[in-house]
Amino acid sequence: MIEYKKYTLENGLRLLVHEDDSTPMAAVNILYDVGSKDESEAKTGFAHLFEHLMFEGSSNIPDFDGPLQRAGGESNAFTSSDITNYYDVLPANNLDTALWLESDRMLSLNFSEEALAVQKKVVSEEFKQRNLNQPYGDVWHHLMALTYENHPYKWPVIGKNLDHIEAFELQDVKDFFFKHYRPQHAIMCISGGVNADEVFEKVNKWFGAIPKGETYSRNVPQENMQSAYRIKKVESDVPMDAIYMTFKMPGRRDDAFYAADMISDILSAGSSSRFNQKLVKESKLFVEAHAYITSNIDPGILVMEGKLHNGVSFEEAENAIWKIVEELRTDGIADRELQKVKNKIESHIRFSQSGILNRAMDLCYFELLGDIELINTEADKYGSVSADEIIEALNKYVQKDKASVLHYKSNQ
Amino acid sequence: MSLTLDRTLVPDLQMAETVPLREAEKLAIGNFSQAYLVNAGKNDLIKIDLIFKAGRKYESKRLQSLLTARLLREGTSEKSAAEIAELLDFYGASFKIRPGLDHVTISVFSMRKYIREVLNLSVHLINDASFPQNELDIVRDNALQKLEVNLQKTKYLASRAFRLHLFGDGHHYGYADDVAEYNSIQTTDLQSHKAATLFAENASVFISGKIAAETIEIIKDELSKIRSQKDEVHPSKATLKTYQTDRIILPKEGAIQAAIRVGKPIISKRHADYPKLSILNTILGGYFGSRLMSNIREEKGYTYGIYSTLVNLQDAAYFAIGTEVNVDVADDAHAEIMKEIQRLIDEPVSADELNLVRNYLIGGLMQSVDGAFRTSSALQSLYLFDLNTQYFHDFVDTIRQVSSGDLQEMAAKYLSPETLSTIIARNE
Repeated sequence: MIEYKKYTLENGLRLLVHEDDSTPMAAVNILYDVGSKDESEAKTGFAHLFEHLMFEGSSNIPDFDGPLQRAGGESNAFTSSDITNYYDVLPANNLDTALWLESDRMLSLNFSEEALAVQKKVVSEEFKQRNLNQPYGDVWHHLMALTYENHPYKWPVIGKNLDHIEAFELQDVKDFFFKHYRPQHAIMCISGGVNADEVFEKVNKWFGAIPKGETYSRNVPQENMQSAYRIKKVESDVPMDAIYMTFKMPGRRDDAFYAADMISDILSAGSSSRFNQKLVKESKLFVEAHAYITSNIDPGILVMEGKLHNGVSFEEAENAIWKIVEELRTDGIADRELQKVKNKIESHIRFSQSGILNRAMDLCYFELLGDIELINTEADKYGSVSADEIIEALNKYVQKDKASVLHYKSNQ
Repeated sequence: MSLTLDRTLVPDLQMAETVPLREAEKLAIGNFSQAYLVNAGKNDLIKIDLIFKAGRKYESKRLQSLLTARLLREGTSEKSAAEIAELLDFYGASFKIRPGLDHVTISVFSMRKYIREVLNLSVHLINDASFPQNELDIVRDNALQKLEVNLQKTKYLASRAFRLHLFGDGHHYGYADDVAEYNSIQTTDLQSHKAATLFAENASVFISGKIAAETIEIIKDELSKIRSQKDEVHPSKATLKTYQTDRIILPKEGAIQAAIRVGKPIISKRHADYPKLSILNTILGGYFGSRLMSNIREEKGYTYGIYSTLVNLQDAAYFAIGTEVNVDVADDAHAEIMKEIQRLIDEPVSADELNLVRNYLIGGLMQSVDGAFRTSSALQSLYLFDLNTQYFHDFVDTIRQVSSGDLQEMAAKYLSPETLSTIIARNE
């Protein structure tokens, strides 16, 4: 049982506190309700570039990291298509330092041309390191563009291309900040060796006077129902052919999410899973094969992917995947297999929530989803899904005319 | 709410003078050479690390250690690979095997409710792995395909060549895996490596978590079934090659980024200068605010990241700087790396920067011993080098007391640029 207290400041900032007296450390996590899905198609990659700029100095403090390191702390952040999440971990008795820094950058950034110019270069190198200089690094670019027609999930968080990143200007930074980085769009969680009421007082002191911004209504283009099989073929300088198949599934707030998620577990969680046993070990058609979900807030996707053994054709590979799906549809899921998947999920949730930082991140995310109690009930939500519900989800979402398939061919 | 909040004022800091590192409780379990328990925190989750002297250092044939580890869960005298996988998944357990240069570490993660079953199976794998031919073929095949992918990465090429250069092809720390070596491994090589290395007397065990007395008894009971053997292990007698400074360019057609490695063999943590050298390394490239990150990422924008590190092995240690940069700026980035090192030799670190690094390191050490799992890892990195918790406390004292003169001396003594080698994998 993970306990927490919730407060809301007058400016709309939500604060969660989770006390853990077994640690001398504190974690400060701030989730901003903005991600790459809030970008326009002509200007992609900005939410993530912006995340870099949040470390380049704020209205009263020229450097974010230095003072935090001086307090014995460390920070980092990540951007996804749905959210941007910042965190600091430091000795709990220096909590004020983190609050001073975080509140100042929520108040305002210093909007420096020079910092923007350098971070555009850093992000371009990140783009190259992850997506261009890496075998299979551009798969996600192809795959999302194939899978989504309207929704901004169709471009990766890093952005569509380097030109977009190059083109951003300081006015973009200002506009984005004052639209999205206002207290009512943020959820903060402080966990660790702290006292909840003292934390509330401190947070009120540092964040209470930050003005509430304009409230806007989010208008993200949504997908139409897919009704035909899609395929795209690309060639690249990689050693092995690879296949990727995606299927749309319910969003994270939908009750149907859990059963759909468990399709990927039944197919691919652990080395005893159907994919590993049948595709890699028995038939040896694949060198590796996985199924997983993107876990997005708007309808996300179930992905099935694998690298093909030398000499195996794309047709053979895809047929083998469909054969497993069809067997699952017809034969259903045995009690023990279902229990196995549930045990694995329970263990995964419990191990991942064993540190104060992960608990703080999860609390913020569940609060954003609108059900903070998921921190304690999520394992049960998975636990109560029946075999029939998983097969129903399979029948609903995993069909040939709903598939988007990428053949990524080796030209070596 | 205070209307007079002055945001330009830095909040007061309180820095701990000592870092509480919990001692492990010594247990007697079967014939294990060492057994420790770290019982702390709030989670009734359990992590058990079994550390065998079974890494590359103890091979009689190349890749023996890696492949023995990979096949350990792929079949026993009684159970098929599929049955083993199903059981581990069913218990929601994880059985991770890390084959290293010195040790093979098996980490078992389990929920309390299945601990007996999980350990019973783990011990069975260690005692009775049978290395079926069919499973070796699959593992080998997949490893070769992955090697092919890795050989396309400038980062992989540079790291591989770097270790080869430091230790030599004739040494177990240096050799690079290749196709011929994968193909020459037989199941009998794996059986013999297992027989020679995986037994209780040759292992240390670290148990961590919030664990009740009766659960500890279950753990002891199950682990004591790991087989016992009187013969000792035989470490390789290969000698390290004499290190010579070099500059090596590895051509990789079409690479968009160049991978750079700079480094040399260096003193290990058993040496009296090591704590000071380690603080110097932090200043150079050991954290986000380091000299290398500030210059090469934050000022020039040449890279997404650059780090420097000290790696400790049982019979050697090395210093390494690593980064990937745009090919056009590779030479300039390399020159800047050398400039930053020279600057540590030529100029004292300012009081302000040193103070920041002191606090950063102490905060980092507090975090590194926060909770039972992390405490267990911290103790392993001491005990496996025959060091004790006093070493850790002395390290904290050194962090608090080190002077910029000491650091300058360390830089001149250990990091002089003409002693460093450079490897760059790049488009020609």
